[in-house]
Amino acid sequence: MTSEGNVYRRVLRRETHASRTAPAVVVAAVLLLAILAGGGLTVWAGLDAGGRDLAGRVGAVLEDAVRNPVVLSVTAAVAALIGIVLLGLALSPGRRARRGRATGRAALLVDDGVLADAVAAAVAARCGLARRQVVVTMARRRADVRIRPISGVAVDEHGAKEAAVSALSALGFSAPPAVTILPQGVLS
Amino acid sequence: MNATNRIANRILLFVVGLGLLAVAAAALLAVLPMPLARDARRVLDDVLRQTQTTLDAWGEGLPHLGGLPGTAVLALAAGVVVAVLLLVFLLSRGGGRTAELVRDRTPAGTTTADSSVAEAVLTTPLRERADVLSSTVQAFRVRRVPAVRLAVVPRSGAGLAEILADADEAIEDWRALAGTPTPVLLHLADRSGFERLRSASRVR
Repeated sequence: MTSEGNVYRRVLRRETHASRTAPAVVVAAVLLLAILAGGGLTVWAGLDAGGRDLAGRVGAVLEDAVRNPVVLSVTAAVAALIGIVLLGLALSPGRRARRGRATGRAALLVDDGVLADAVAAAVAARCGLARRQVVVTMARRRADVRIRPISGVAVDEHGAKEAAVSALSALGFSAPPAVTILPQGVLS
Repeated sequence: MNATNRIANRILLFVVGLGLLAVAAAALLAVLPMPLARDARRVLDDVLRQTQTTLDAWGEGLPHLGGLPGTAVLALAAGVVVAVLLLVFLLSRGGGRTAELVRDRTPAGTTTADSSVAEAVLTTPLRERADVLSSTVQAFRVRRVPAVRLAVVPRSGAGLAEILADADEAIEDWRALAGTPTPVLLHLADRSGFERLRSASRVR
């Protein structure tokens, strides 16, 4: 693989996955504040009687909290909830609603919303419907196309599929469309 | 396309998440009335007491510093180390942007091209299109190589294939001008932020 190919592979991988920077920065900032507060209180307690008083009061409050079953239960629930969320963020792949591919000259990255919009426009044009009657959701390996027909007018399902496939392949992507024609139509 | 070390993000989230689960488990053990929890609590209490005794015995031998016992000084030192690591972590997020895309050194001198040159070459043909809401250029260093991100926000119903063809042509022009095959990421982006407030459809 060329060095340009390596760059494209790295960039596309990074752009299609969440960086997890925002939650990591929040966690690091909270930890840093807690350490600074604890360290500051310890130093103050070592240097001054006022600091010792405050440290004693904080210690007493913490000791009371440890003995209080309600406080402990709430602490357990909150810590477990945040812990599970953080583990989920750390371990889940964090795919973003985008897809990419390397073209001849550049790497192409397309947001799923843009693809869905292109597919919906193509399907609406092929079926002779208003754009708002077609809703497209891009799943990871599938394009869900929901069509609300005009009451009493049949929709060409095969044509809708073809339009969706060609709209995607015009950009070099493939996601088999799953077309659903809603049972209730609208009056044109 | 920034230079953030993403593994470090995930390691921090994993370690803190595990720590919080351990705190939750300990707090739960302290309140649960079941015999199993009582046994576990007794074991935990023993371990904590033993650790405290060992630390106290060890701390006896440490010199006091400015009215603080030796163990507190050690804890403070550990806190300072962790705080510095966290600060380095916070300051090292992001980055990787560069202003200079091309540097050509010859015996006669050095020629450099700024990212604004790439912006002018790459975005002008796209901005002229009625179906493009915005197009912007950012330059980053990826694997020590300068690379360009060309972000294009199309209007709803835009001809994406034609936008791609125009962008491809602009990329070719930029490469011819720069004289180097700068990697380019073309991003067809959803409308976001203020762009959502603008009209989604074209008027011809």
